[in-house]
Amino acid sequence: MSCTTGNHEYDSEFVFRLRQRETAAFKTLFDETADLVYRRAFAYLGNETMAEDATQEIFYKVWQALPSLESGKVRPWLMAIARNYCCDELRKKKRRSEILRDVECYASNIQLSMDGSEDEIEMLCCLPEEIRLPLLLKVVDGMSYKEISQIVNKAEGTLRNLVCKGMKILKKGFDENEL
Amino acid sequence: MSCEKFYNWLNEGNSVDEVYLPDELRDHLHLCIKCQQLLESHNRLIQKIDQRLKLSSASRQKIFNKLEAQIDNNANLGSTLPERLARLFHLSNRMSLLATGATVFLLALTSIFLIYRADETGAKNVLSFSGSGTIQTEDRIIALTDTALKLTVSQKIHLVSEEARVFWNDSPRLVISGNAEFIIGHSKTEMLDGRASIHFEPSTIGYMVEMRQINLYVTGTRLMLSTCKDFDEIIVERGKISWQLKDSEDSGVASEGMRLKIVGGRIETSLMHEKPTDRLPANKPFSVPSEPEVPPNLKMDRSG
Repeated sequence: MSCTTGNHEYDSEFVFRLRQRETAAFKTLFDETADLVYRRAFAYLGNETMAEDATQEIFYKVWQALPSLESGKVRPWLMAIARNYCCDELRKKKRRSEILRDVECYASNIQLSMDGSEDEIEMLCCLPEEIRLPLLLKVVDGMSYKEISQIVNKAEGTLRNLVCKGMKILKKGFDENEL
Repeated sequence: MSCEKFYNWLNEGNSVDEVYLPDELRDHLHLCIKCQQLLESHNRLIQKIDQRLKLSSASRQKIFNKLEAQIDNNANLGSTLPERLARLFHLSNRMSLLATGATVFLLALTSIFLIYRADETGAKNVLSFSGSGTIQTEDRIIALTDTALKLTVSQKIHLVSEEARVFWNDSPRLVISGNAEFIIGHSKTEMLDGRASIHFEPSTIGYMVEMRQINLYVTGTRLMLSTCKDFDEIIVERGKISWQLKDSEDSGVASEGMRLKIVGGRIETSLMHEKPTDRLPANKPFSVPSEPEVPPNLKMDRSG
């Protein structure tokens, strides 16, 4: 088997085994992409427990959809399933909680509420999804603003502003922690 | 490039890999200690986030164990609706195949049984007559009664009758009055000579009458037919017929009250109430004789 990690796609033999729902092949796929899926789920949902549950559900959906997998397109296919699931969950989550649309106000509230004890993950959790998602996609996943724009359906200029704001908030808390 | 610009550039999440650094930025970085410290702090933040957003070994194993249990559990239940439907479809398919096979088998058995029964009783393809008057076959003359008389199919019959009711396998087909020769079959009657009025029962849907020059297709119709070597004549007393000339592709429909006359392969149409043509053959009187002309070598059979 010559499957690879990172941004490389999988060979046709491995894809065939996946389509046959071979357990070993599925486990390999899980081991190599679970972090990526978890990170993406956290970016959307902003909660570690929810992100873990989402990771399980996403891979279950992947398992069910394996017979329809096309060769050479495993990662985009996998991340599309993840995005669809997370968007659905986000819609449910937003129905249950009040949405703070004013990002500036929310950011300032976060700064006032932080007492310097939060770690970076807690700070990320406090960020609204509109900031957290593009920030993590850009800074951690290394995606371009063009790619992020296609995922979140926002203009690149808007995304730059949001990422900038998020980074300033995180850095303020980070610097205070380090001090 | 100023420190503020570098700060904003960092906050936009741009890559700080030296390969991608613009020249202006690289030059400033080499000279500005504050920006170098800012860059280091930025990198530490990103690394911490990256490490925290990785699944621990324990979490990874826990997720996979729960995933395996979910897959096993739903495999037993056929959990997803599409899977259940697919299973039901496959089950239905198999049951449909079984049902079709069973039906074909039963039909085959039934057919064999019916054919056997038909052969046994001799009820297959039975032509029978009842009524008044006489019929003359090749070897005998028969006086008709109300009791059905069975005859061989496809034999020539000279019917001299007030009224003869023709049955096919005990099902009424025709009622014939006249003086004419026929070969009567299940779905077709060939009129050879003479003149007769024929009433076709509704069961004779698609029944055909073949005359010398024309074929008729009748359904629940009453016709007056005359045929001889010179012409065919059809009067549609009730209902409607389709017709087709034998030696050409001419065809049509004749409705109630119409008269068709075919002479020399050409068809003439008129209405029934118009002056009748005096074209009956002289040697074939229309009136039914009280006593048939019996050849001396034939035996009169009145038994039915």
